[in-house]
Amino acid sequence: MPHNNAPFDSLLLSQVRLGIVSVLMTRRDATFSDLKALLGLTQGNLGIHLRKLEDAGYVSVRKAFVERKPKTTCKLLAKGRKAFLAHLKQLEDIAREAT
Amino acid sequence: MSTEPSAAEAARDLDFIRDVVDRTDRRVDPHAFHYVHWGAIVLLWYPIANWLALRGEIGPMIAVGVGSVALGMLLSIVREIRLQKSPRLEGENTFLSNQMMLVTFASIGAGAVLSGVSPNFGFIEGPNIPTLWALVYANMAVMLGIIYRRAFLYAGIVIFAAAIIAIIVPAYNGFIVGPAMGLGMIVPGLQAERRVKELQAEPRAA
Repeated sequence: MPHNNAPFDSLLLSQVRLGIVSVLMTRRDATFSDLKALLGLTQGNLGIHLRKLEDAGYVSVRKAFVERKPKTTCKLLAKGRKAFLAHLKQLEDIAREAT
Repeated sequence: MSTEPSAAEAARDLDFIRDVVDRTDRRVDPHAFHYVHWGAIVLLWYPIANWLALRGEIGPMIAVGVGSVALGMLLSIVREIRLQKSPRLEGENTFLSNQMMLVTFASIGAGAVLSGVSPNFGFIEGPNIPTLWALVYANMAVMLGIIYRRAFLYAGIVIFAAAIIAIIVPAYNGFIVGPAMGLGMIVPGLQAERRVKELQAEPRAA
């Protein structure tokens, strides 16, 4: 049953996507390599989850070449920030009620 | 949209968020070797310069000063170039390391301007420039302590206390502020370098 009448955001129920958004909440932006290293993900796995977040308008993904090397930079968008904060509050409410 | 997680799942996710945020925040390479070698330089330079000044040997004192600054700049440039060629710390929090770099450059820049302007306008006499630099270092260390690690904050307090003593006993300012500034930069600098090595050796997140 939805908590406090607000449905849970299924995108953030995945721990990988929750991790990506948590990193991006902490920083202005993060590169693909940063996310891979911080979350211990494979390139393919990270790519799939980033695409889902990008499609939902939670993150922006910008690809560029820096010194002839491809560099992918991810940023959290306002919609993603709002969704994360709402999700965090719901998790805290559940954890609080259980104690 | 999906079903509500259980209390255990919510607690697990909250722990996971805390862990990710903590891991993301603390991955910083502040290039602390600059603090270590500049600390080592002032540790030797200021007492030697003070000793030469007390003996009235102004020429050698100036030569030691010029040599120390040149050595420090050379070491900074060479080591920074070497670091640029090596792979950076994976997942580094570049925002924080950039802030630290700005604090350092702003402090050193202000110190350089004050060192040039103050004696010429009679605000601070030439022999008291080491005390001025101790105040600059103290301010820089406190700011680094606030944004990075506490060790710099404590070092800043010690350097500030040494600067106050040097104001009271100006004839021996180099003997007082040199060791305080030197050790005040070397100790937290080495701790920061060790921390970076630990982060480099840390296994990737599971």
